[in-house]
Amino acid sequence: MRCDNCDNEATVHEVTLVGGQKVEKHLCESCAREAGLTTHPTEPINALLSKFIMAPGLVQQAATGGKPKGEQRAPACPECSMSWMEFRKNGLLGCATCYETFESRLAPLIERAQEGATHHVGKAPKGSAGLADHQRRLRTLTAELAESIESEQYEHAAELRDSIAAIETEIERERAEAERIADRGMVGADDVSIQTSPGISPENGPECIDESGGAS
Amino acid sequence: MSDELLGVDGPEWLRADGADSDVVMSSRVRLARNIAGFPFLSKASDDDRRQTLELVRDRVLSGGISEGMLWVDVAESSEDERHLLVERHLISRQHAKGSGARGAAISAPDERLSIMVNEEDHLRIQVMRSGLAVAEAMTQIDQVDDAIEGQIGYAFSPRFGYLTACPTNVGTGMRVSVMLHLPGLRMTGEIEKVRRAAKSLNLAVRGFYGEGSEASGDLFQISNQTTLGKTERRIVRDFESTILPKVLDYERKSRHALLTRSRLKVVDRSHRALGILQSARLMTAEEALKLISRVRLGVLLGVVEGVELSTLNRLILLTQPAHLQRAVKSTLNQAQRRIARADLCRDRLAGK
Repeated sequence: MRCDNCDNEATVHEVTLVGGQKVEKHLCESCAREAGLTTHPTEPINALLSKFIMAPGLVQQAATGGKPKGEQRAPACPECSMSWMEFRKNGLLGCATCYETFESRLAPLIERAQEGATHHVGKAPKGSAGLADHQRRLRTLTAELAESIESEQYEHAAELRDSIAAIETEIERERAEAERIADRGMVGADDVSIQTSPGISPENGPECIDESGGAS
Repeated sequence: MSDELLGVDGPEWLRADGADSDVVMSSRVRLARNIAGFPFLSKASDDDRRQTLELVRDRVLSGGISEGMLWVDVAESSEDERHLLVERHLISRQHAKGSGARGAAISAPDERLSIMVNEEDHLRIQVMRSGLAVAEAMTQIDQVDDAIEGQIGYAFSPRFGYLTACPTNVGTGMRVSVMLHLPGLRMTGEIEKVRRAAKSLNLAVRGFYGEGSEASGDLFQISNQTTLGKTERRIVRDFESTILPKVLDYERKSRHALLTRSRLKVVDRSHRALGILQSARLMTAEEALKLISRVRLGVLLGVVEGVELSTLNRLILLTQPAHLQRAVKSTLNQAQRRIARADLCRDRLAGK
C-alpha cells in the first residue's frame, strides 16, 4: 500500500472515529512523523534512547571535534570497563564515572533527550558529599586489600586494613551526624536546596526529535 | 508474605477518593537514585548487588522513613507473589522478571511508599496517592529521599545531577505521573488529541500497566519525560498546571456532551455493562476492565444507581490474574481464571 501523501510504502496505519465516521490514514514513516503520529506508541524509553544514540548525525556530533572515526577508539571507562559501543548497544551506563569518561559524547545525547537542557538544577545532596566520597574510597581500598592479600603483601595489607577501619569510623560518624540533625528536625520538608545554573533555558532548547512537524 | 503484607481490599491509591477523582485515579512520583561507590546494575557483581541490597534494607528498616516499612526479598518470592506486587504497582514488571539479588520495601498498610532495590538503578523510590495529589506525593518522597541520603551517599555530579543508569533519567531523576480514567474522550474519539497535545509538551501517554501496555478500561497514564534542567517544584508545577487542567476539562465536557446528546445511548451502555458483570459466567480480564469502565462512567454521570465507586475501583485490581488466584487461594489456568473472574464480579456487585 502506498502512503497517502507520497509514493513511499505506507507502514503506519491509523483508524480513528471522528464524529462517528471511521477515518483511515495510511502513511509512510516520515509522513507519519510529520503528521505527529506515533509510529511506536509503546516503545520503551531505552529503545528510543538507543535510537538517539544510533542516529548517525548524533554520533558525529558526539565525537569530539566532529571526528567520527575516533568513535571506535574511545577508551573504556577506567572504573567499570564499559565501552562506548557497549553503551550504544543497551542504552545503560556502567557506573557514575561513565558520565566523566564519556562526557563529551553523552552531553549532546542528553541535551537532545532533555529538551535542550544541559545542566542540573534542583535538589542536590545536602552535605553528604563526604559520605559519597568515603563510600567510593572504601570500595577502592577493599579491592586493593584483596589484591595485596592474594599477592602476600601482608605489610601493605595491614596498612590498608587500618585505612579501611578509619574510613568506616568516619562513615559511621557522618551517618550519626545526619541522624542527629534529622532528629532535631533541622532538615525540614521545604529545605530543598536549589542550585541555579546560568544560561540554561529549557524552553529555548532545540525541538525534540519526536515532535517535528505540526503536532498541534 | 502476601496475606499479611497486602490488604485484601487493595491499596489506598485505588480508593480514588482524592481531589478530582472522577477523572484522576491516582498520582505518582518516583525518584531514581544510585549509591556512590558501587557500579550501576549492568556492571554490578553478585557481591555488589548483595551489598547495595543490604545497605538499603538496613537503612529502610532502621526506621524514620515511614511507619510500618515491610521488606520483600523479590529474588526469593514466588512468581505469584511477584505478579501480585506488579498488579498493585508496587514493583515494575522488569523488577519482577529480573535476576539476582533484589528487593522492595513497602509501607503498609497504606502502600503509598515503595522502594525498589536493584532494579535498573540501585534505588527506585515511589510514592502513590489517591486522586490528584502530585504535590503531596512530592513532599513525602522528598522527606524519604532526605532520610535515606543522610545514611547512604548518592552518586551525584554538579553538572548532571543524580546519576542514573539510563541517561534519560539523569538530573532530578524524577518522574511524575497520573492515572486517568478517560471514557468520555475515548467514546467521543478525541483521545488522540490528548495524545498529541501531551506529546507536544514532551509528556508520555501509556496504558494502565505502563510501557507496552494497552490503555485497557480507558485508563491512561501521563508522565513527564524531561528530568534535567528544571527543579522538582517546576516539574510538578508544569505538570499540574499545563496539560492536566485541560485534560480534566475536556474529559468532563465530553462526558456531559454524551449525556446531553445521546443520553439514552450512555444509559443503555452502562446498564448493559452492569448486566453482563452481574450475570456472566466467563470473563476475560480485558472484558472486565472494559465493562467496569462503562459502569464507572454511568455511576459518575448519575445514570447508574446502587453501585459504589469504591466497589468498581477494587474490581479493577481484583480481576487481575494474580489477585484472582489469591482470592481463591489456588493456582488457576486461563479458563479457570475466567470462571473465577465472572464469579468475583457477580459476588462483589451483589455486595458479597
